[in-house]
Amino acid sequence: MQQNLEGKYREVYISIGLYIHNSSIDDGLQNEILNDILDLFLQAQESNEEIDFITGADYKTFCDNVIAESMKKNSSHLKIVKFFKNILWFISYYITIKTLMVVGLYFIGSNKTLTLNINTLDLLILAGSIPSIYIVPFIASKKAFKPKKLLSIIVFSILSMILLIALLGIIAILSGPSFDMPLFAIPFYLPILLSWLIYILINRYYKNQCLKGA
Amino acid sequence: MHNKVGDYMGNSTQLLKGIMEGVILKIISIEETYGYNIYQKLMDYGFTDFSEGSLYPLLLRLERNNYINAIKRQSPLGPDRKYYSLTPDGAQLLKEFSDEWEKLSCNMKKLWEV
Repeated sequence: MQQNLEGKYREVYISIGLYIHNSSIDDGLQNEILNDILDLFLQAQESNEEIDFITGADYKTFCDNVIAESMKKNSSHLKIVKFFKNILWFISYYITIKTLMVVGLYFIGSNKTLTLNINTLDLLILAGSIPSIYIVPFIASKKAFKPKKLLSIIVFSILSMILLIALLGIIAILSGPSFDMPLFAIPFYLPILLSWLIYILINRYYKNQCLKGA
Repeated sequence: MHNKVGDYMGNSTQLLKGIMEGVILKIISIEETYGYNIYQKLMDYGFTDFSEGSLYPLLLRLERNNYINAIKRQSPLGPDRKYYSLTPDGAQLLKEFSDEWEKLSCNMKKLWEV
């Protein structure tokens, strides 16, 4: 639906989305708030109103007020839980893709066993990617952030991810071990089950904590 | 930071801060309505100095504290739209506000007529 927004409405809506997603508000409430704001924006746009009519002069102050009303208990403990929840979400997706590749290669005959080999490259990709996925929301949450710079920040985060992986790769090469050498091999179903199970448990805990804080 | 003497006088934005919850509850009590319509009604009733950007957080506060209830209905513009109505707690708060406001406005009138 946000495609129906134009110009400044679209630009500010994307920025508000980033700002709200980086807050400690429960994911369900985040979606509800963004849906409410989208409806207000669409109507204001239809009536040719200035965006300030809805958000005031500074959309970040608007977001801060929305966040303050949503979170009665804005604890740092919740932020830490959310941080680990997001990392686990990323790891679970990575493991899912790798497992699908193992199963696919087994069925086409390239793999003889259904074993998941975790090697140095996997650890490098994870170690290099995780910090960079926090660059965009971190910068977007800063007061000095300008929505027009969003694209360059995304490019910057991708480049920093590649650079970090390359840097870790060089360190790994200098340290000795080969990228292909399995660090450990486990049955293909174990990591995918464990990672998603832990993610679901942490996510449920996080949502319960959000509800208690609301 | 301390407010200087006179900061609240002759400044309708400051004066309005304390009464906007009551104003919004009153608008919603007249008929079930949605966010943008509340903006328009505020303008129609002359609350033009109400700080822009303040309405949605206020609606959120009232909803989170169970003073208003929201039902989602289809909107012609796209996403489901929330229609707000008063809860029993909201109706009680509005009554208390109305009584307090009447008392205050009566006292002000008496004083100004001296």
